[in-house]
Amino acid sequence: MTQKNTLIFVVVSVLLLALFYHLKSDAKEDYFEQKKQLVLFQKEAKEIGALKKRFKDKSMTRRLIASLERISKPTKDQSKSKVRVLVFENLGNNALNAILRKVENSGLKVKKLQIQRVDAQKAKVRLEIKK
Amino acid sequence: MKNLFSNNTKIVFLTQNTMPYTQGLYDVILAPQFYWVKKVSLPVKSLSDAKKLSESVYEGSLPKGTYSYEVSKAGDEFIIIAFDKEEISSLLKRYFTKDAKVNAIYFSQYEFSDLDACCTIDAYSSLVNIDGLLMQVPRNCTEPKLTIDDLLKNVKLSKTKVKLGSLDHEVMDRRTFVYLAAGVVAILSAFILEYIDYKKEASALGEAKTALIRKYDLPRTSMQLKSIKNSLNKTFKKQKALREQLYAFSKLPLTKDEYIESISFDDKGAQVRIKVNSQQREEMIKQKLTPIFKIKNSTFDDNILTLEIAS
Repeated sequence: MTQKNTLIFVVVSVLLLALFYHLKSDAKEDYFEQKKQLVLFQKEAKEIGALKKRFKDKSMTRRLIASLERISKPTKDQSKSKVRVLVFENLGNNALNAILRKVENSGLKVKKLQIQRVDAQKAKVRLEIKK
Repeated sequence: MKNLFSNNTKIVFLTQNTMPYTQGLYDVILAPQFYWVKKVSLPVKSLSDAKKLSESVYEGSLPKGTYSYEVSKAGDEFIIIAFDKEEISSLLKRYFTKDAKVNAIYFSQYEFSDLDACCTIDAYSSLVNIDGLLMQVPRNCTEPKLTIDDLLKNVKLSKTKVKLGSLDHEVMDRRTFVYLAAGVVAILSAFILEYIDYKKEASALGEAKTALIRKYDLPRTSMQLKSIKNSLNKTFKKQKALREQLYAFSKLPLTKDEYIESISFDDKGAQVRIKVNSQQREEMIKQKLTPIFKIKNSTFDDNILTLEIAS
């Protein structure tokens, strides 16, 4: 191996080693950055997923309304373009509590809720739900 | 690489009758039989101009080959040496074998330029200086006082080395090279494998992200994602506030004759009308609600407490 060839070998080797080390380092940095981003994305995705499930699941909204209707049949059920209005009248204590607990624990997007005492035994509830 | 930096060299005079060397590091002085030399008068003054004319000086007089030229000045004339690098290289390979290495090569023309007597090289030839040109002649000197060994003992090597390509001498044996190359290849392979691995893993991360996007039906851009998140968070906060208000009113410590006449919740907040027994009770209820809600307005009229609460 002549000095010239040795020099060429050394130069080429150093260049190749530097190049691949650089490529590897970049890939490594890129990977860890992506991993970090994915962890954040995953967290956000889960959060959004949970919120979407809570507020954008139409079948769940339908089921909840059906369960409200089972507690007391609404005297008025009106669907507008963006809201659905349910009016429950002559609600006894138990029915009122049941409806309010349902609304409180549900993911219904309540636009407006009005509760009015009619007399000592009866109450009226007007519930506007965003579609 | 050990020979690259050491200076333990021996000076040798190389002729065709020299026995091959197998060990050591050598400065080689080439006998005139390995090159051609001419002393000419040229219509130029500088060495570089003379060098440009060298090829034409030797035109038609050299055997077939690729020649390089070395020019030096001798008074008004130029001494031009023609030499074949490839031939000299192969010559060196023949005479310096195994562990013998060549450090530098010199022309005897320059190294023994001040020779003024006949010098015996070996039993068959002598070195003589004829009109400033060193010649190897196939005969013994009549008075063999001076031998090549004597010359070599006292020689001070010039700076005019034969450039075969300045880096053409051996500095590493094949085995060392193979080990080094294997080492470099191993490190490179490790880098490449690591690179491929990281790329694969990064691609897997990309797929995992795509799977998340599909699973939660999310947009691809972070801006859209942020907008959805903000909108959902806003909804969540409003709905949470509404439920907290509802819960807080349901837990109000009302006495037997007291009751909530009406409550109305919307995006802006809540409005509640409570029938209370006295002003004192009104104050007490307000005190109860103040740490929980921001009361925008409150009135007390005919035992009815009306509160407006911000969302």
